[in-house]
Amino acid sequence: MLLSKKLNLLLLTMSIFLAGCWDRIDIEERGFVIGTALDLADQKSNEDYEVIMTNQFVIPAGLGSITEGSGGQEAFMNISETGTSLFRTNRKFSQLNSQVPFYQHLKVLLISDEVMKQPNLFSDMMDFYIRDHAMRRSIRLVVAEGEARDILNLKPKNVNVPSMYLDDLMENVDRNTSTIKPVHVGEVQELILNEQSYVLPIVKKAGDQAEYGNVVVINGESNQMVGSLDEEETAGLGFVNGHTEGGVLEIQVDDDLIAIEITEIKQNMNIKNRQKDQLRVGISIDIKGNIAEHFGGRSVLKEQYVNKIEKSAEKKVKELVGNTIEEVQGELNTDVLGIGKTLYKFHYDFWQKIKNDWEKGENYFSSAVIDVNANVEIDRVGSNDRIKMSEGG
Amino acid sequence: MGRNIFRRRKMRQESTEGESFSAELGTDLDKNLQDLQVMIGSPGDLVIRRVTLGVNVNAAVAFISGLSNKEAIHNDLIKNMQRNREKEAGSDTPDELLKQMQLDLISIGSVENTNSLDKLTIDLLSGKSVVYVDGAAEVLLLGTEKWETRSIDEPISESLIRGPREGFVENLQTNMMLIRRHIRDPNLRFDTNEVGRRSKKKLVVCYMEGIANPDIIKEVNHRLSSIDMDGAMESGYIEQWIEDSYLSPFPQMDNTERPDKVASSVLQGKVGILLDGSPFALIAPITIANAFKSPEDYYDRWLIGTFLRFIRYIGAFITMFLPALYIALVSYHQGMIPSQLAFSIAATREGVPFPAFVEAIIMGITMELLREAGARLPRTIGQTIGIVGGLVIGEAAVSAGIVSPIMVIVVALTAVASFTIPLYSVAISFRLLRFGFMIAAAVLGLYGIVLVYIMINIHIVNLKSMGVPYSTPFAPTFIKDWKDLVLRGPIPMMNERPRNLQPKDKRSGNLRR
Repeated sequence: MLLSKKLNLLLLTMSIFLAGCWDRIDIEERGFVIGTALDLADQKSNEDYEVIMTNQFVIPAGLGSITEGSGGQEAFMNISETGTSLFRTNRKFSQLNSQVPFYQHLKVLLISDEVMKQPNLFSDMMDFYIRDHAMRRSIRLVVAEGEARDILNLKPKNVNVPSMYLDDLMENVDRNTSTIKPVHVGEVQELILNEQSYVLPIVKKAGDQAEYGNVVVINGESNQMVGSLDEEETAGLGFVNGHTEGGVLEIQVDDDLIAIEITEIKQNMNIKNRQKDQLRVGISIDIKGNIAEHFGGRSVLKEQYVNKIEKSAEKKVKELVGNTIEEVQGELNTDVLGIGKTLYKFHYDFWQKIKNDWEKGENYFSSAVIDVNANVEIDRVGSNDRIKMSEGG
Repeated sequence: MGRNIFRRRKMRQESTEGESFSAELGTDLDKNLQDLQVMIGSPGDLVIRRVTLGVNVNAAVAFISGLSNKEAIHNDLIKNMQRNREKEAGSDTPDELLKQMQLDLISIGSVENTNSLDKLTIDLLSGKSVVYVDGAAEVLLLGTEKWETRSIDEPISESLIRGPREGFVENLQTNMMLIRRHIRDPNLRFDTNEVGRRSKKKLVVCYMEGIANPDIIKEVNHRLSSIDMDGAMESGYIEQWIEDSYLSPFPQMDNTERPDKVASSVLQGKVGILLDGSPFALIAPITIANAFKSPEDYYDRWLIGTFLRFIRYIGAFITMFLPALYIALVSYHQGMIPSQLAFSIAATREGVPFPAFVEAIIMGITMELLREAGARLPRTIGQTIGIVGGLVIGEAAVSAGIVSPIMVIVVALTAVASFTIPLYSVAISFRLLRFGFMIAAAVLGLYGIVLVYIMINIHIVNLKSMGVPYSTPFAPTFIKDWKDLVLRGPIPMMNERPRNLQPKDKRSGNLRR
């Protein structure tokens, strides 16, 4: 102890106050990045890409308050920068913008399908968003059809900032069968590490609006987009692996159109045998729903009729799922159904033997036989029985 | 450090003992009266009335006109002395005469004999009247104290919606009466002490024999006996002399104007201290939880009482943390604010020239200025100041762009929250600590707030009030006391006295649930 106690205490106190206030940047000096778009600029060589990073900054004054309004000022500002590493590109923003980019309020990350189509580029770029301390794992990731930065320029009439609009759009996932739950950056890390194929949601331009729905299929090994699923195929996929929370099932029963509002979907997958080249997989899907709309004059209070509706709905579900299975087994040859995951969980030894020949080589996935069993249950029929009497009554 | 100073005080006291002189009275009336006049400097309010008794015996009555009951002196003393000269003539010696007067003639309740000039003077100055008889070695001291007092009013600093409307006054006797009216128990003790070298004021320690822990009473008496000062103008002098730590921002004694509060505390096993001339009684020992208790909690139904306490705890946390949190979040942790709120704070702070800390300090000090100005001014003007300050200055500061509107909300909320704390002295120290938190938040952000909070907690667990840990019953934990902590349990369930005071009689009722 060279120093006396008092001196020590003084030095300790001084160290706090003299070094104090580091990292202090007041809120108005922060440039809040609320959305980011990544586009492909140029492929320099085989594994060397240049990427355009477009950051959407919020202009708080433009958001306006309840009493004052924004006064015609724009609420956002998009700035683009090109570079190879995202971190350096991100630093370049400080040369253009007076405010320091601040990523803790980043809501959506848009990645153009061009970027997704390059092998390994997507996973490499995700590293910045996972590694950086300012990044939240709750950033929602979505693939943009076409140029991603164009979507950040959309001006819907009701929301001032496009990224907030996109963020809110992704909340509405339980309304349609073709929208899947938004994927967070945190989950993406899991997906990439698992090396199993997965799907990401798509957003595309639709006039002044953006449209959220459908998915792209990504190969788990190269993290590269291999194709996309259309509305019906996305719905089928949703029934199988639980990406969908709800939605509407439209069916025809004796020429009458019936819309069933899905309230609950449960699925179960079991492996029936362990033959490498002819694996049998059983998928059972339990759906509960209400009759939301009914054309025609038949009474929905009759049990027989309801049973008939249920049967038709089951048929429809099987058809949708069948289409999806056909597409992913045939053309895309990518296991996004989660069979590999089930094997990994419940038949680990078997999976170790076949995993190298699952989606490539021997293509055991394509040769698997998948039995789909659907069970639809109508819980409620709505507030009325029928709107008109018909001869069938 | 505090202990050293305490010891030094005691030593000084010991060295001054033995200086008090006690002059004996003589037998010569004129000499005695002259002595008295010399002793107190023949003030204008000293009345000396000479009377002749029996067969030409000279006598005199002395009293201070403002402090004595003149009617009683005239009717019950002087009149009787003058009208019974035959009876008086029966006594042979002046001493016998004095004795006879005491037994036969004087119809005043309290009569004492003394031959000490010292005692005589002090008693005279506290309102008694003195009867001299020429040739007698002693004098009679008559309890004729009476002076103008304030009538019993509603306590201004602690008004309740429901509860007794009477508060303590400056008269000690009245105050004791007010407590006695709440507790008619023979074990209610009023131990009288005297305080102040010059003021010689009466100080009463009030407790329940058989309930209060004797160690606490001993400790209180020990500390009271160490008091050595000229005069105690207010019970605050006593509080500051006998408190455990004068460096602590937290008061270690409760002060109250409400007799019901003293009575209920005494019944719990606490000690009340009353000082003559002060309408504020002290209650010790207290814990941090007392800061959040109001007598009203018990007068309303338990659900209401519990709710009010919750509100006060929330209020305390808002008082201490809100401005600091604002600074920390706005200057360091913008990511922790919900996005929409962050943007609107950023929008309102656009164009504000000061960093959040300076902004908060400006507004915090403005608020304290307004509060102090409102307290100093007469009540009618005080309210105007509040309105002018709160509305006009706040509004003008925002439109001038000196502070952001959110800061005004923060400051206003802090002020309102601090006024929910029933114990005024705690509320002030919370508001003081708020500035510490603000500095910590400005230097180290949330980390700084956490550090200061830990420091304050360490201090609180170290602090004691009359030897009782300040943090009980949180820690040391007395689970049974928790039914009267944040929660205010139903009255029938509270049949045990607080365990943290270790009362001699643990139960206050026998109903068991």
